[in-house]
Order: sequence, then structure tokens, then C-alpha cells
Amino acid sequence: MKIRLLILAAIYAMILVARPSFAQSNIPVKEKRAYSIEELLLLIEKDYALSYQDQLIPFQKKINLSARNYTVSELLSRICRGNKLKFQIEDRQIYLSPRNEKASYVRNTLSTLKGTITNASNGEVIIGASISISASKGVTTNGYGFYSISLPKGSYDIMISHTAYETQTIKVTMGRNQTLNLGLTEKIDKLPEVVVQGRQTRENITGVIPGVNTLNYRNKGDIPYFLGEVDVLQSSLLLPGINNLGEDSNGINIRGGSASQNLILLDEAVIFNSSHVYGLISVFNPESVNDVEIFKGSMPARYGGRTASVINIRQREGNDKAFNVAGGIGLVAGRLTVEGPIVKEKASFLVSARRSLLDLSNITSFDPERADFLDLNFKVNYRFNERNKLFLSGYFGNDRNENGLDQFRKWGNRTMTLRWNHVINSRLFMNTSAIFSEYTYRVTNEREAGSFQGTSRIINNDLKTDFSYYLAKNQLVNFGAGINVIKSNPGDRLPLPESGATNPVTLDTEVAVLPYIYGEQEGRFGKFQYNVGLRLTSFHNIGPEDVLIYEGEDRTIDTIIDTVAYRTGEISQSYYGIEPRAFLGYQFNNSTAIKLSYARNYQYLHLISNTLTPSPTDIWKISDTYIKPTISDQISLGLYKNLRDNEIEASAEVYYRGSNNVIEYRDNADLLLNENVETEILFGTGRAYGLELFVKKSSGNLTGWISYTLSRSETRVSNANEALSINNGEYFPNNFDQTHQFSTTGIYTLSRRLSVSANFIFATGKPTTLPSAKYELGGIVVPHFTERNRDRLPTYHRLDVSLKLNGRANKIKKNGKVRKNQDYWTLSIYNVYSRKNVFSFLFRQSEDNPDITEVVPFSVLDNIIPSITYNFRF
Amino acid sequence: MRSVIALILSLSILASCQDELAPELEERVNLLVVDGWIYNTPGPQTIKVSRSVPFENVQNIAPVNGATVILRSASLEDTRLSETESGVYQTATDFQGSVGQSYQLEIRLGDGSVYLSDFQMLRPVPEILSLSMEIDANNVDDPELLPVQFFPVAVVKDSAELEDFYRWKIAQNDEFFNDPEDILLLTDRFINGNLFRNEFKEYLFVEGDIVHIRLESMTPDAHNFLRFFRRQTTDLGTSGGTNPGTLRGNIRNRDDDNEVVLGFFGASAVSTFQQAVVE
Repeated sequence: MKIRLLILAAIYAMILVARPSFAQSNIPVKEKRAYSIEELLLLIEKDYALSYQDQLIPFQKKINLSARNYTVSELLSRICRGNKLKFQIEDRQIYLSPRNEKASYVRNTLSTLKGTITNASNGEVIIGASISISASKGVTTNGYGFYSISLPKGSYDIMISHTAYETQTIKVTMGRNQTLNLGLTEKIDKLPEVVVQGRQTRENITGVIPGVNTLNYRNKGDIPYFLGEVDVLQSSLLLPGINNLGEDSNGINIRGGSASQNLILLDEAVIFNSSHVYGLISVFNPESVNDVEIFKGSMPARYGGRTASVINIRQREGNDKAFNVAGGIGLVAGRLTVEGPIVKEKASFLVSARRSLLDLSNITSFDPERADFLDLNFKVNYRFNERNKLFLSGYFGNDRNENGLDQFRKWGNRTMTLRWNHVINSRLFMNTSAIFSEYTYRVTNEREAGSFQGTSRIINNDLKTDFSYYLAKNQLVNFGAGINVIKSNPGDRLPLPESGATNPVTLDTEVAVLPYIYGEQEGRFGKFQYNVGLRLTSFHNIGPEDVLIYEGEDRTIDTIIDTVAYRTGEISQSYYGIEPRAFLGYQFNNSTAIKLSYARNYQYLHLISNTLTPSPTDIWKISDTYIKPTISDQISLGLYKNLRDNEIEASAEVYYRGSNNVIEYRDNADLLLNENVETEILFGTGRAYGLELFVKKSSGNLTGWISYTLSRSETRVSNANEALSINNGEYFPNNFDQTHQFSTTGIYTLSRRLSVSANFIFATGKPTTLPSAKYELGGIVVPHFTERNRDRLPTYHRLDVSLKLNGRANKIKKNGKVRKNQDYWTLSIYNVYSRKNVFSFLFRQSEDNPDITEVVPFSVLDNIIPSITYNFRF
Repeated sequence: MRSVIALILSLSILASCQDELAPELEERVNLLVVDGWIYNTPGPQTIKVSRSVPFENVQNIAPVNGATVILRSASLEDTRLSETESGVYQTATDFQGSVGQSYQLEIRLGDGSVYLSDFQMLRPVPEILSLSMEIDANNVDDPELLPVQFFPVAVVKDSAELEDFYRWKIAQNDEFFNDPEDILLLTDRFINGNLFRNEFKEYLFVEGDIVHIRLESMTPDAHNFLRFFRRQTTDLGTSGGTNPGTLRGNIRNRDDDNEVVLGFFGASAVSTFQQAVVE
């Protein structure tokens, strides 16, 4: 089985890679004579983009050449030889730079060039565009499209590039501080639907943070379709190190961490529940998403708060030049986005809505129940002047699930972010944000003895300032501070109607204040690049609060001996965290790099849930006297190689993450509206480690990637008191452990209008607990279990296929005008060969013969699910 | 194009791999199981003693014969039970528990091992004040096709003394509903001291049926055990289910605290209400 897998993987890899190799152009030299360097550069510029500093090139120097074809490298070597120059070729761009950078460094005046890089057609900022002087000197634009670079006096060819846009070269004379704002045009290749990828390709080598995956949503062709949508979280499941607990599970698991250990940010606001009902579709409407960055455990000091990852999602801002209406309608959902300028090229807005159409429960194997959802995104931005820009963005989501006759569940995230970008001087950029984020759920039960309505809410308010200070010599210092205020109403249960027979029960509100400060410095020296940072966090639980005192470690209702009451505003518990972050990379050459990282993270907010998969009605609890923050330490080492001029990126990364104060639960823990949750919680340690292999091809007719992860994720809960141990205090695989995971995505462009994509996932089954015996009690047969997670579910594999048909572009209508509507159809089929992937086992007495007890596999999505969507934009 | 064909071929080879969906289960344990409950209604009171069996076994129960089973009250009055059927031990027919009394079970096996349960107090139970039948709204649309169906509604007043735990049992024509989903537990956490309506919407009866409702009291331990018991026999494997664990009861080996003994010994007071369904 495993050998078969390896052969298949090898075949597939060879197919992806087996294409004629890209050859350097041959430059024909017609006559045998002496050529001036100026002539030769002109000859080379016919096929390549050249970048050099005028004062370094001896233009009139002559070189003797024969009449034959020369490769461009040969010509460049001749030019550089004896002139203290060196050259580098990347794609079709050539950099000429001094062989010894120090020699040419003029130690007098440095002036700064700064600006914002945007998309020329709609004004959206371009994140991660590269502004470079030479192969080793340059900066990239930050999350707001801003860059700043300091150079000595002189004239330079500045190259602004991003692999999704046409490169531009601008000649700039430095001597005083100046601003250069530029709009880049989106790349149109001979086949307009040819897939191009975002900035990740070069950052595979030049970026210093390992384990970051970037998904670019601007070009919808490069992410596979799922149920008619490109989905942020579903597509991340195809990346190495990321999986989930199967269908009907909320959230994703990164490197063996639980879903609540991922910090999910939408324009800096925390999203507490990232999935709609059944976990198939995330709450992020792809129409409103600009960029998604996933940091798998090693994140720079400006991020923190959860132990497994940061998923940073940035919304689009809205076209500031013209109005656009786009949308789509399919079997699963319909969406509509309207964007446009408020004041042309100064202010714009974007409003996007998405609603489920088909009752989602129809595609699962559950009994029919109603399930629907709604997402609303909006963003408004206003650029006052060159130095100031204001953004207001928000999200409103709602999910509704009706289960059986009388039970309703409703839940949703609500966020609002107000941000002010201010350029303080040409080197100092600041962003201040005020953020509000809320998650609520409500359960209405009209059925059982005493109908009631239960509500729970958590609010996270954030006020923060972040600075980016661009130093000379490619160094960047990011620093900032903020304060986070969390308020949680863990639950109340009120009779419905108010006069009903049940008594109201309300759990105490909890409030915590978390101030933090951080600083990080990023830079390069020689072939090394580094990012070193420190984040200092603290946590304070603010009264009023009653803290129970228990006798000994075994906390139960029977061991309470005292209560300490804290008044309003009094601090009942504080924790402090020192979180160092360090990243070091070494670039062997332009296409090979090795990166090492270390990060420590404190998590002060925990999702309390002992169910197999997190449910939208689980409770977020802040740390307190008994629930200490979870702390994780992760180190990783990776080797990165780009092949064939950055057309292919490959990486191999190993990681190890150890965690302390990991929350586990006693058997049969009763968490429902429990005022003293600490009586049901046990604390353990966790360890997760693995190897991730990744190969990605981003241009040409066939693009896609292959990923393989070999990993383990374990927990240990050990205590001298057996009642406080699990599995005899030994390490056992936790619910997110998945030994092998292989996934591959391929997108093939057949023609200008048609492209086809497929993804295939193959993974070891998750751990499960099978019975070791059975017995009878009260006439009911009961399975008996000993150790937890000792067994495994059967392997999971699934193939999805989708087709994308673009509408006829540039069609001339009857009145002679060009048709403006860009539309396309997608057809996607989930689980093409209808594999009944096992979600769990059920233990039932056989209906035919009650003496036989069966183990019955249970699947959630056990069928092929087709979906068609029509999308338009005009 | 050839790459696409090659891909599809290779993936279909993979897809044709048939997985063994039935997991392999090993028998690893052989534990004592005690299933006993006493009531304040005339007996006989029954205790069943058995052992666990391998999961694939066709028989679900391996009865233990020849054990000495003693029911002890808090005033140390011992009553010895006799084995009336294989593995089934009973008291005399006139024996009944008393409200307010605590009881303990002692079992001695042939090999000399002695097992003792915790003392369980037989707690009082409120009366079922009324039982009425309500029409099941779902069937009103087509009254000609199906006979009209009713569900029972029982009214009870909880005592104001906090921490009452109950279990409902429902019988249709003398046959009790006895699947795991029929373990109906109730705590007074949200209804303490109130007059309270219990609607049993899942249980449908037709005209002419005899409905028998039974309310039993129990201790907090018993409630905890039954709650876990119900979870492990209904929720397991669903996404709302929890990780399964060992269902320990309240019985221990007197000389070996670590031995896992399954099952539970409980004591309940009972109140009942019965009526025939008339349109």
C-alpha cells in the first residue's frame, strides 16, 4: 500500500516537472569586432529587463566578440569581468551590481524613497510587492502596500515587481527624500486564464519566516473550487501540516493543534468560529478577501495569543476608480458584491453579502433538519492625503440550525475595525486600530420539560498601535503595543416564556485585561537574513469574582473548603508571558535557502469542549486561578529550493512543538452551564512533531502542488492521583493526530475559456477508541472501553473535480460596444467516487439479532456532491 | 493531455483499494458486572451478577452463579438473596426498601473475593399529580390515514430541597421502553421547587393503549452514573459525542481498590400513574 503510494507520487511529480526546460535566450552577434558595453546592454535589453546603477557601468569600454550566438550569461560575464561587477538573472530580469557592495557605499547623505504600490485598475493595495535596486537590496510592501527604502546619492533603476503584475522599472535620482507611488497592471499572458501565484514564490527563498503559506484570492483560478466556492479554510486543508477532524467539524487543525489554538484574524479582528454549519464552508466570503497568510506556529512578534497558528485574512478595499458589481449563484449559496469609489481615487467602499440557498443538511447523512447561513462584509476607506488614510471594515455572520421539532441554534461572529494609517516621516509608518469582535450563540429549546433559551457571548475589544521603522541597510524594525479587553458571559439559561416553569440560571460574567508590547527587527547581512523579536504579554482577571478554594488537587464539589470574593475592579489573578521569536535564514544562492525558527506563545483564552469535534455552542473561557495559560514552544528547520527560475518551489520542513498546561477533561465531564468548570478539567502536556514536504508549480498550463506530511500529536495527563490521570499517565495520540497526509491539487488550463482542476487527499485515519469487551446492564448492552485513542479509523481518501468555463470575453454586442460582463460557470463535484469516509464508529445491537453487537461505521458526507455556480462581474 | 490521462489512471488504481472497514477488536478484559436496584415498592428486589464478554460474542452476558449476595441496611440488618435464575438473585417477595434508609450491597464470590458497594440512600420522590394525553400535532393533517396519536404529559411538584434527581420510565401496555435513548433523566437544577409539566413528545400512543408512567428518585452518584451510561450508549461516535471512558460504578473489591467493577447499585422511591387512552 505504501509503496504504491510512493510510486504514484513519483509519477505525479514527474508529470508536473517533465516539461521542456527553459533555456536562456541566445543573443546573436553579427560581426566580429569590438563592442562597447553600452551597445551590448542595449542588445541584452531586447529580451531582458536590466537594472543597474549608471555610475558603476563603464559604458564606453570595449569588448571583443566573435560572430556567433552568445548566451546572455556569457555576455554578462564578459561585461562584468575586470569591472568589479557581478550579475544575477531572475526570470527575465537581470541585476548588475558591484561585486563588493561595501566599496561603492558612499558614506555621506542617505535619502529615503517611500510610497504605496497599488493595482492600477482598481486601486487595491498590493501586499508583498518587491521594490529592488539589486538582487540583494530591496524591500517589500507591508500589509497596507507601503514601502520605504534609504539609498545614498545617485541615480538608480528601481524595479517594482510582483509575480501577479507586470514589472515596472523607474529611474530615480536620490539626493533628497521623495515619494514614489505606483500602480501596477495585472499580468495578462497570452492565455488570460493562465494561473499566476502571489508573492510566495520568491518568498520561498527570500522570506525569513518559515512555515508561512500564502493564498492569493485575486486570481481565482489557482485555488480549487469546493461546493462551487473557493474557500479559504477548505483550500488550506490541502497544504502540508493542516487537516481537520473530518466533515461536520468546525475549524482546522494546524500541526496537531486544536481548532481553538488558531488565531483567526479578519482585518485584525478575532474570529471565534470560522466555519458555518457542518464545517464545510468557512465564514470568509472569497469575494471580499484580498490575501490570506497562514503562520504555522512560528509567527513574528507582532502576532500572538494562540499556540498553534495565526491565520491573517485581509479584506479587499473596493475599487477606487470605477463601480463593479459581482456575484454568483449556485446550488449551495448566492453572493453579491458591490464596490466602487466614493470620491474617485481617494475613497472607496466594498459591500459583500452571501447567503445559503439550498438547505445544507440535505447534503449530509443526518436526518433532515434546517441549516442555513448568512455573511455580510463591508469596508470603507478614505485617503485624506499622502500621509493619512482611514479604514472602517466589518463583518456580520449568522448561522441557524434547526434540529428536530423544537430545538433551534443560532450563532455568529460580529466584528468592526477602525484603522488609521499615518506616515510619520519617510521612514516611519504607523497604524492605529480600534477593534471590536463579538461571538454569540443562542439555543432555544421548546421541547423538553420546561422550554428555555440559553445564550452565551464573548466580546474581544482591542486598541493597538503598530509602527514600522525602515532603517538603512535593509533593516526594518516593527514595534508596538496594545491592550485587549475580553468580556465573557459563559452562559445563561432563561425560561421561555418568562413565566415558564424553569428557574433562570446565569453564570458569572468574566472580564480580563491583557496589555502587551512587542518589538522585532528584521534584516539581512551577507547571505543571512534574520528576524528577532520579543513579545511581552500579561493577563489580569478583573473582579467581581468569587474564587473557590479546594482542598488538594482533586477539585470536586465535595472538596470545596472556602470562597474568596473579589470586588469590582480588583484583580483576582495575573499571568505574565515572555515570548521570544527568532528566525534565521541562510541563502546559499538565489534559489536555495535554509531557515531556522523558534517561537514561544502564551494562550490566555480557551475553548472548553469535550466533544469529539468543536461545536458552535462550546464556551470560551478566560484563564483564571485554576486555568493557567497554555504555553507552547516551537522550533522548526526547513530547506527551500526554487527550481526552473522560480517556476517550481519546493520545501522540506521539520518541526517540534511542546505545550504545557494543555486542557483535557475528566471522563464524563459535565460542562453544560457548569459554574465551576475547574472541577472537570485536567491539565497535561502535549507534543507535536513532524516532517512536511511540499512541491508547487505556479506557471504554465498545468499548475498545482503536492504535499506530504508525516506527523504525530500526543498528549499526556499524568498525576500521582489516578483520578487525575488519563491512560495511566502515558503519552497517547490526541484527536488531531494523523500519521500520514498526502494531498495534491492540479489545475489544468485547456484553453482560453476552459480549465479543469482536481484535488486528491489521502490520510491515515484519526485515532478512535474501540471497545475491549461488552456487558449488559438494565437490559441494555454496553460497550466497555479501557484506554483512550488506542485504535485508528480506516484511511480517509477523496477525490474532487471541478471545471471552470469562462464566458466569452470581449464579445462585441449588437450596438458595437464591448460586452462588459465577465462571467464564468463552475461545476464542482465533491467525493467523485463516493467514498464513505468513516467519521466514527457506532456500537449498536443488531436489529436482526439483539444478541449480536455490531460496530457500524458512520459517515457524514457519504455521497458524491455536485454543485454548479454561475458567477458574474461587471 | 497525456499527463491528465496518466493522472486519472493512477488515481483510479488508488481508489480501487478496498479498505477493511470492520475494525479488529481484541478481548482484553473480564470484569465483574453488578446490576442492581432496590425500590420502595413490594418486591422481590432483584440483583444481577455477571461478567463482561468479548465484544463479538453472540451472548451479551456471562452470568455468575453461586455467589453470596447480601443486602445490608444502614442499621446493619442483613438480608440474604437467593439465586432464582442463573445469575439473578432476589429477595423475598414482600421485601421493600424504606424511604430515608440507606442500603449497601455485598457480594462474595466462590474464589473468596468480596465486593462492597457505597451506601445508597433511598430518597423520597414527589407524587405524579396528573397525567393527561395531548394530541400529537404532526398527525393532525391526515386523520384518516393514521389513527390519531397522543403523547403523555405528567405534572409533578419538585420539593424545594435542592439537589433532587429523577428518572422517568414509560410503559405502553405493560412493556417498558428500554432502549438507551429511553433513559430519561431529570435534575431539579432548573426547576427546583416548581410545579412542573413534563411533555414526552417522543412517545406516541393510540386510543386503547394503557399508559404507565413511573418516576424514580435517586442519589447524585446514581444520576451521574446514569448520565454517563446514557452518553456512552447513545452519543458515541456522533460529532456531539465525547471520548469514551471507563464507566466505573459504585462497587469496589474490598481488598483491591484498583480492580475495575462495572455496573451500579442504586435505591429509589417510586411514584406511578396509569391510565388508558381515550379520545
